[in-house]
Amino acid sequence: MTLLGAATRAYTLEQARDPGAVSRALAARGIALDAEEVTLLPALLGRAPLEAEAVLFGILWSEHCSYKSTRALLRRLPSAAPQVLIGPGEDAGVVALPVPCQDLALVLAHESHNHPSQVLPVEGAATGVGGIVRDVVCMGATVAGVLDALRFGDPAAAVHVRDVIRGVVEGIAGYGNPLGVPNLGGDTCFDERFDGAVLVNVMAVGIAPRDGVLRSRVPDGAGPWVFVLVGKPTDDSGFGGAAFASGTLDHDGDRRGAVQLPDPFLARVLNVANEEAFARVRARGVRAGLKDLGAGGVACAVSELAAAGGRGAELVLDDLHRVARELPPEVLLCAETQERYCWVVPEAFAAELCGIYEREFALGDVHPGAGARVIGRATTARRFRVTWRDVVVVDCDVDAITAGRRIARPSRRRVPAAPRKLRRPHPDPRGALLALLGSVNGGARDYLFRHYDSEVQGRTWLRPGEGDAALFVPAPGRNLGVALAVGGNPWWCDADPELGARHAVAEAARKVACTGGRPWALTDCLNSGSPEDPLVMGEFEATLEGLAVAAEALGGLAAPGAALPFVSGNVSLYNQTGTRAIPPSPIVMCAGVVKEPAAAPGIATGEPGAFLVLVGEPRDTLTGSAYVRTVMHESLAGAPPAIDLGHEARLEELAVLAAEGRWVRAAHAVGDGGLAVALAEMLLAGSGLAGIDVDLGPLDSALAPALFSERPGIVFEVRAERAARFYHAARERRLLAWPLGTTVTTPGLRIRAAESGMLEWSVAELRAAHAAPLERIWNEAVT
Amino acid sequence: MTAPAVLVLQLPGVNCETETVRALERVGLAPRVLRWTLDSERLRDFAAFVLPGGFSYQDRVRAGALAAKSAAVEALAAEAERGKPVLGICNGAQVLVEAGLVPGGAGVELALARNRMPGRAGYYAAWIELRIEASNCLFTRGIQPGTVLPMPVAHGEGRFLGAPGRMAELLGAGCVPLRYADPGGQAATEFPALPNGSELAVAAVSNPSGNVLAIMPHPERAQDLAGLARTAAGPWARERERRLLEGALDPGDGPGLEIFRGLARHLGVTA
Repeated sequence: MTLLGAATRAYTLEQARDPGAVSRALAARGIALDAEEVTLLPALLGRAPLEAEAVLFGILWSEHCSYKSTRALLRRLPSAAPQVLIGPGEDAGVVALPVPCQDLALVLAHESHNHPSQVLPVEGAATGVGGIVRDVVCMGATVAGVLDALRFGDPAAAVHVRDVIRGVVEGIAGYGNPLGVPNLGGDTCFDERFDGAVLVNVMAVGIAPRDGVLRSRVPDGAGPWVFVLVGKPTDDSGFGGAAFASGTLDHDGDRRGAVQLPDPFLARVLNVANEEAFARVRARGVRAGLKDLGAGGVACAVSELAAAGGRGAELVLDDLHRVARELPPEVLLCAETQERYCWVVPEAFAAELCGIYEREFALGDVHPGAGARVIGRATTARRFRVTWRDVVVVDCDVDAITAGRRIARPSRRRVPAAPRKLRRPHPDPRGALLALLGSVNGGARDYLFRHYDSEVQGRTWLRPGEGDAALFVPAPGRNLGVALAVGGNPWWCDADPELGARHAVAEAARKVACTGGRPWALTDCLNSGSPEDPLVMGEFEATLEGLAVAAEALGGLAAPGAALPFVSGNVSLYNQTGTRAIPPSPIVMCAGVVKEPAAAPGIATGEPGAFLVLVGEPRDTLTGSAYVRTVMHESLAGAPPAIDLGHEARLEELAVLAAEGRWVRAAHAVGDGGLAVALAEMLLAGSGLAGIDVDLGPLDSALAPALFSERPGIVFEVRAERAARFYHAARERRLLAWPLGTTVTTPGLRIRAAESGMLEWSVAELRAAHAAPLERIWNEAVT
Repeated sequence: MTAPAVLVLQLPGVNCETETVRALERVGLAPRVLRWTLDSERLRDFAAFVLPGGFSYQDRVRAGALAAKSAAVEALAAEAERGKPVLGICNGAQVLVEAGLVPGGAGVELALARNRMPGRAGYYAAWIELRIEASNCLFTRGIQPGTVLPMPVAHGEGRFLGAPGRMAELLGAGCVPLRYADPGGQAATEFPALPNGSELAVAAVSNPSGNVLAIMPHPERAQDLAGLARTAAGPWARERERRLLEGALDPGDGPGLEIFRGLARHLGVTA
């Protein structure tokens, strides 16, 4: 007999008259409803909420799940373009690929796992990888790569900062490597403002048959439809994770229990079993929906599957496969146990589906208690009803669950930083380059990449560090590649959030173009401080404006006249300790389509006799540069350099044509540290057996900005016999192209300038400086 | 003739099935992936066996240790005894060592110990160069000793270890078909050319009859010439550049394919 009255109420209507007190009492039990929500919930339900309902709505209305402070603003981002199949709103975005992969779709997702990684770096980063992979898998895709954008504290600061750095890298490697998903790079920055609030953004890319993309919804038709939970047995790990990720990091108490526990071994076998299930569903024409279990666990997965399909759901918690120890129903319902998915399939197919996981792949042998179970059914009545031992523990309108919540936050814009003018004399440029390469932000990322398997699946053609973007071939044997790169300079976004955001999009797209990729789609994660601070909201609005304006200008290489679409994204707020917020840190991933993957330029210069040509904006300012921060030791480096988005689009077009025409062997975007660092990186990325000779004369610029300006530009290594075509194409696009020098047989880097005469660096000294900073972090000799 | 059937054994936790299958297909073989739950009788239907890379049984106890005791691998040992080719790559090599199939005949003689690297510990993934040694191994037969093949490694436990003098003895007996090479093409003595501290730079060990090969580097990841690491210099890089300027659209055959071609030749497939 089901009796509503038998389940515990979270609070009574009487108590709700003092919502503040109820909110505090709930918080002590780990339930996050603010005073307004304490009043709202009974109004929505028409009665006092049950315990499990309070937990559920606390999760649903968390910033993490509801985007309540930002959803209305996110509409500013362009998301439409001809190649978009599924835009923002699902677990991942989906875009079409061109011939010869027109039967395939590219699936992209982007998330943050910031708070968990600060508290438990290894587990936090590992479950971040696990979660983003599931977001892509649940679209019916095979995951082809993960990327990570990391914003660490200053490693010289304290051992706990270094522990976080080492732990995050260990977590990413420890999960991604066994999972069999290649790590395709990303980026890493270090700044003291992340000392207590690390950013771990994870991105995943997958490949699905274009007509076999699964949706996270109950399909149309009579069914009858049942929900099948597959994977790890439900336990209490990660209970309260969404609320945890929606608060600042400085409240009292140990929050490690809110971090989920990873098992990549199970995840691997589960993925292989999923592939078999996908094949079976497609071969038999079974209509099905799939969703991964993330924030809010079973409750969110099932209710969202039902609501998206215009149905309701009846869920029997007794039928969950779960750990042996006794757990209350709200925990079974909302725990964030990892490595689980929820299918919705016709009842007639459920036994066969369970058999794949339970028998053919023997999940129970792989992880004790893992398996697949029917846990409920879809209903035509649009109610979400959950029972536990014959007692109703949740009973509400499905629409109440998905209606979400909005909060209008006041915002205030601050005045962006002005461009920086330097009045002090410049130090020795030879030492300056070594200082930049030897700084933690300028040092080689190689030490870190060597922890990761970047080529499992055997289709990675440009590994992290080899090209400005990573490159893989989605369908080996077919002539098409996909390039992926990340952009976002925290110092620039701090100095001028809008201009910094423009640069973030341009940087990611430019790196993709350098490897011959036509920028095809974007994902983003907007990492910020507390939305309750009007200045943070002001930065957030400025960031969105900058991202949107840049995306609108840079989509032409995929579809003329169209924007470069944002197809998936995430917002991570409350990245702060006390009143100290992180700088606004949008992180953008760009995916590009490479029509000639065999000819994709890396950054390494090769055989002697090729021309080195810089194309881009004049080298006339040092504002915002790593040179000002690192060499001149100015903490405020000033505004980012200006960016002309029309020029940027033409520059990227040149890079793509140069790659497709096989005119260039290498291409490297000028980034942190300017031209000098770019040239050194091109030299060091190769075998080290050749050299670079450059003369700065053609730049007609003062020495320091010529070497270290960070205005947009690309250094190309142009094949001598194809240089005429290259110059012609640059001229046609009204681009300035400066011939700077050649690759030579004598190893080393030589730069000539009127001001300084000849500057020379040996490969060995460049390499030693470049390798040292990250190696030190792992060897505890940090100074 | 119909292409010889090759079993790619999918133990729980392995993760290199797809690219291994692709490499086998490219040299004219007919690979089939079967799970650990298979009926051991079915092994008889196959002409050769591959244990792909990954983390079988979560590397519990020691990498490869649990897999070596599994029914599927025990049945595979019987097939190897009959002279059928067996290739273990990375975790597959660890399984063959733990099962005593290499060097073979005297139980478990070797270990794959944790990498030894200056300034770092644990898992290490990078491209290295391998040098072909004179041996009786069917997988490298037909490749001139001294030839250098660039290839990636990706492991935490890849340091071949035997009783004192045993590795030198194996090298002398022609049971070490591949060693890590320095830029001059000689056996490597230092990191990073020697990525794991393996004794005498040993990268792979075969049994005396040459039909079982345990190789730590990943030949299946070096099957596309277009995917050659950009740090690689020498003839493979030059060939890549030459094809590129010719306008070739296909990926081209990479250095790793040589190992699979050795298997195909042995099974009578002519490219």
